Formats: sequence, structure tokens, C-alpha cells
Amino acid sequence: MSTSSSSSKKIVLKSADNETFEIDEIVALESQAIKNMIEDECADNVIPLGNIDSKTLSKIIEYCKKHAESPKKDDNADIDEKAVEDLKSFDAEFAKVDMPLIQDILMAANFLNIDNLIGLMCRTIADRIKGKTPEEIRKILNINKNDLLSPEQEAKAREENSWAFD
Amino acid sequence: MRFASYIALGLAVLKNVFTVLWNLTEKDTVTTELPSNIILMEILPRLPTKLLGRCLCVCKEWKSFLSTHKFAKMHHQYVSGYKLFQIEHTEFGQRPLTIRMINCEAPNVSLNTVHISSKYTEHLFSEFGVTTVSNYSSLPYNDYVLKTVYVVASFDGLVCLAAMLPQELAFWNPLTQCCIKKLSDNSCSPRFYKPSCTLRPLKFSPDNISSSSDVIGFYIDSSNDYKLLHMVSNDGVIADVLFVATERDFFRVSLNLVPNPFLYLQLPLVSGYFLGPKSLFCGFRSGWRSKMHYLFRCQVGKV
Repeated sequence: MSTSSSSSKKIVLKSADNETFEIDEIVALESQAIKNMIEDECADNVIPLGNIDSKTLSKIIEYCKKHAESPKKDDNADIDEKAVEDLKSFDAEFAKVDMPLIQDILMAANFLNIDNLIGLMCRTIADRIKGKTPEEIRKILNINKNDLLSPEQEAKAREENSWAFD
Repeated sequence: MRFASYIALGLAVLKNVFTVLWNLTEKDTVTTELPSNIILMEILPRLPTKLLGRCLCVCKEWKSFLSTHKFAKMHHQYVSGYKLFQIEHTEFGQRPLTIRMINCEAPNVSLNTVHISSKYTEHLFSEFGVTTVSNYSSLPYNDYVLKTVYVVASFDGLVCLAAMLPQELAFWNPLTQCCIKKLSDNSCSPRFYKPSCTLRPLKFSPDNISSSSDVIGFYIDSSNDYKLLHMVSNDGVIADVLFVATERDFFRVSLNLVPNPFLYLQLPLVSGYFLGPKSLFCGFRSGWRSKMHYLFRCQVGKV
């Protein structure tokens, strides 16, 4: 692995706080947005990511490295089950962070267009609001207060969906 | 009335404050509102069905989006592995159908096989290719009627029950406990839950096939609505008569068969079931001994 990665092309990413990260091109290609930039040849030596801080970016690179190393599903029909399990447990560990960081990673993954990571973060957020009340869900997701149901409407909605509140 | 609503609002606010203070710290919440397309398109479809009932109360935007067909389709993609009912066909003579209930909140954890209640009903219903459901309290029937209830079809978590005693068909959602019963009885209503048809002694053999070999199943029509299709067998051969049931009524439709050479062999219709929602694949066994399955596709048209 190390021999092949050292010989491959490098990409440098620069975070909002001016920290630079040198990564293999294959890792950067996990991001559809960077892939498009490289294909369109509008990526210079350094790709500035003005809206992603270094803490978030290093997490994202950690994720992309792991996923770039793992065999892809469409490559081979009978991929190693162990590799799939390994990736699953990596994802589970990776998601064990606070909500603000999950949010930052999600927004960055959305900007960089990394489908799997968007999915993982959204699944994590979904897990965090499981079993919560509507008030708690509003709080966790910081839902806009202008758009709430009136007390009458909410009481009606609760009554109609009492099966969900058992 | 207005005063009461202010109190309710006050209590809601207070509860909100307590929630913030004691349950949820900054680590558990997002710092700014997420873009609504991410919440609606990526997060909500990943939630378990039961939680969606609560999400209807979160805000107006969620409430209206969760009620759309678009959302239902998206949600189904993520939860399609969580089937509520599993219906297994086994050999005739033994128990022909096994119905298993799967807890959609914790899939593969609670698998309850629904059993037949008494020897009498076992004897009676094993003759008809159906298993009676009993000892399952959330079914929308009391014990007495329950002995004559069976599951006709199930699709996307929606279940169709037929009750022979009150002679009615019911659409039932086991999760929400929502049940629509007592569809008006007319000449198009399915015949096999009526004692006059079903209490005849029947034998399963290619020479003696009767109404019990009718096929019934859900499909999704062009307006994205669930409908129940009843495909009638006529002396064991599929007839070009179909009846469709909606939440309100039964009516008659025509069948446009997609050309298939097997169909012209006049294969006896022994058992059939629906394999897909829109294209209506049906599997029919060709005969008692050969145990071969034939598939054909049809489309429903209007008469």
C-alpha cells in the first residue's frame, strides 16, 4: 500500500484556518466535487476550502482515506465480508462525536459532495433523535420558531397520531 | 378557550426550557439550523415510521412534507427491509400459509408466528389455503370474529383482512392501528370471504379448483393510490375479470395481458401471488406434480 501511495499523485487541501493537508489523489477522489475539479483541470496545486475548518477537514480526510482503501462494492460481487464489517465498525466509531461536529462534517460533506459521508451523518442525526419528543427534536435540530404549529393544531396532530406517542 | 391555549403554550415553553436544562446539552444539539433540503430529503426519510408520527408535530413545514406521496416513496426506500407481515406459502395439506409479524422498530428481534386457535378452525381453514389469525390482540376484531379472519394480502405495511363472519373486507395499518372496515357489498366484492362460497367442501387438485384459487393483492395505481386487485379464476383458468377495491367501494376493471405464450396453454390457476406493485407480476403453479412456477405480467385497465 505504502509503495503505491507514495508514487501516486498528491493533492493539497487548504482549510479555512490556512492549514494544509497533503493527500493522495485517490483519497481526494472520494469527493465528487474535487473529482469534477480535477477532471475539468481547474484544480491548482492547492485547493482552498474556505468554509471548512482544519478540525472538520482532518475528520473528513480520515473518512475518505479509510473508504478509498476499502474495496468498492461495484468492483467485485463477492467482496470480503470482513472488509465490509471492518468498514461498518469504522463508520460507527467515526460517528461517535458531538452534534456540532456532526453538523460541521455534514455541511462540509454536502459541499464536497461525498455521498456516503452525507448518508452516515444523516443516519447518525436520525439515531440521535430516535425516541425523542417533538420539543426535544426541535431543540436538537434548532428548528425555526416561526414555523411552529399553534397549540390547537399541535394538540390535534398529537391526538391524531397518538400511536406514535405510546 | 384562548386562555387555555396560552396556558398550554406556556407549559410547552416551560417543558422546552427544562428539556434544554436537564436533558440536552450543547453537545447534543446543532448550533445553527440545518438546510431544510438536508433535513427533509436526507434525515427524515431515515427515521423509523413510529417517530414520523411525532415529527408531524414538530413544525408546519415537516407536517406538510411528511404527508406527501413523494416523502412516502423516499421513506419506503429506506425502510423497505422492515416488513410488518411475512406470508409464507407452504405445501398444501399442511398449514398452507404462515403469517409472521415483524416489529418494524426492532427488525428481526421479535418474530411472532401467528398460530391457528382451535382444531375446528384449523380443520376448516386448512381447506381454504389460509391461516386464521388469533391470539393477537391488536387485530381490529374481537375474539369471536377473529376465528374467521384471515390475512388476504399485505403490501408496504398495509394489510387486507377478510372476515367471514361479518362478511367484510378491511384495510388495516398495524402500526397506526388505522382500520377501514365494512366496504359496501355489491356484485363486485370478493367472493371468497362469503360463507356461501367458501364453506363448500374443496379439494386442491387440478381437476377440482374453485374460488379459493383466486388471487388477491395490493397494487399502486397511476395516481399513486393503493388498490386491492381481485383476480378471478374461472374453473381454474384465469378469467379476464378483475375486481378492484378502494377504501370506499368495489368496481370492475379489465385486464390487459402482456403477451406470453404460456398463457394460451390454459394453465390451471392453482395459486398465485403478486410480486411487484406496479407491473403486477403473478406467479402461478402449473400443476400439482410439476411444481413449476409461471410468471406473467398484466396491466389493469378501465371497463
